Amino acid sequence: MSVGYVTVQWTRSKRVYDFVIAGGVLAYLAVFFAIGKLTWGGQQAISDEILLIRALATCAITLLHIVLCIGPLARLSPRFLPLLYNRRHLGVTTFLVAALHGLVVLGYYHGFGRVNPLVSLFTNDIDFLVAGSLPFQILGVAALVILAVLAATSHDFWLKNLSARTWKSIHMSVYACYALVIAHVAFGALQSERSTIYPILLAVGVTTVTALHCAAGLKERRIDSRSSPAIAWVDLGDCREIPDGRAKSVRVAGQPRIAVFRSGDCISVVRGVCAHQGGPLAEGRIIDGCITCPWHGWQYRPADGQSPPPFQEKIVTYQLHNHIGRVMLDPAPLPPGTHVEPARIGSPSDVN
Amino acid sequence: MALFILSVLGGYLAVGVVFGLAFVTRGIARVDSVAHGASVAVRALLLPGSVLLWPILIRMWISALRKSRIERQPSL
Repeated sequence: MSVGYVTVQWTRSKRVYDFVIAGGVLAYLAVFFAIGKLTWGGQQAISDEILLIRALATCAITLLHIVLCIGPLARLSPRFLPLLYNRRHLGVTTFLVAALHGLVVLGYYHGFGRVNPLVSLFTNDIDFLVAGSLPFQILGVAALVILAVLAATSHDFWLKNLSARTWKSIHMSVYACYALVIAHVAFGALQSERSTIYPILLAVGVTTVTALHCAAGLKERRIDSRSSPAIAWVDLGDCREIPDGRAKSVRVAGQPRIAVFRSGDCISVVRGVCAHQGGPLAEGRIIDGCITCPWHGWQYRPADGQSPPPFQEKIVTYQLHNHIGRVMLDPAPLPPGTHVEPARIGSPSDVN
Repeated sequence: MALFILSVLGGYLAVGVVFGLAFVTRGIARVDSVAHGASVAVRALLLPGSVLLWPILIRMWISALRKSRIERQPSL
């Protein structure tokens, strides 16, 4: 939240998350190296450099799959939401591992000639092109450039100054990067690989990412199809069903998703989209009296949608009233930060 | 051809490094008042993005300078 920029807003869970990422990457590389030494022994022995190239490549592509699966998994089940909190560190780690892979490849395959290694990298692939194959190394470089841009713009400064929309558009290019990586592997490593395990693993990865995105998209579509028409007042249903400190998502035609929060007997309604990265506020909860976004913990007061001082973020609120014991919502959005007296569950009518 | 592309990319990055250093030391607080007094670590973290996105940041810096100049002009 924007009172001043810090390198990382560290919390205990973020430290644990980063520790798991770093430990996981190191453990993966060590295990891959050990198994590689055992598998490719004797006459089939491969050099440590090639083993390192393969270890880093498979690690980077595994991390990229995890990064891409976290989003839809969190939409399908709130149990995966903690994985979202620090996803950007996972993305930066993916870039660092992929960059290391690229550097080792550059040094090992292109660093010993008279030609500049970078020139060799590009011209070597053009020779491949003449032979009728895809320039897989250039595809890998393109994917690495996208990962570099995503990693370099992952700080909140960029989100704020490039605008949320532009920032999101830039970061959606992770899917173009994924397509490039798959092509890089398919037209590169898999062409010379005799074992069937790598193509199978790649197919499983692509299928998993695609299936999870389709499932999450279908779930969103089902929620959207239950939207109420934009009429004067919308009945929010039985708000006693909402667990204390939690919310439900309501969709009104022509409006972004709306989050209905319950705090004790009080009901407050805000736009269900976090001002930070568009996180789903209805999947968050009330912590210390504030609506807390499940993605990065940005907070807003339920009654006026304002972040607690000294923070200055504001989200849209909605007018409410009780009608024969039901909480009714005016779907016309109020200016961000407008105070609205919370409605009480089960209270009689307050307007005629 | 490859050499030409690499030269263009190298030139882009060289300009980016020079601009990026100037931006993270001086321009950042002009563009975003929240960044005023940001630590060296934060500025270092923003350097790679500044190197890569320098054409966008130049426009933002110029428009921030124009805005502050207009605000400083005495009203008649």
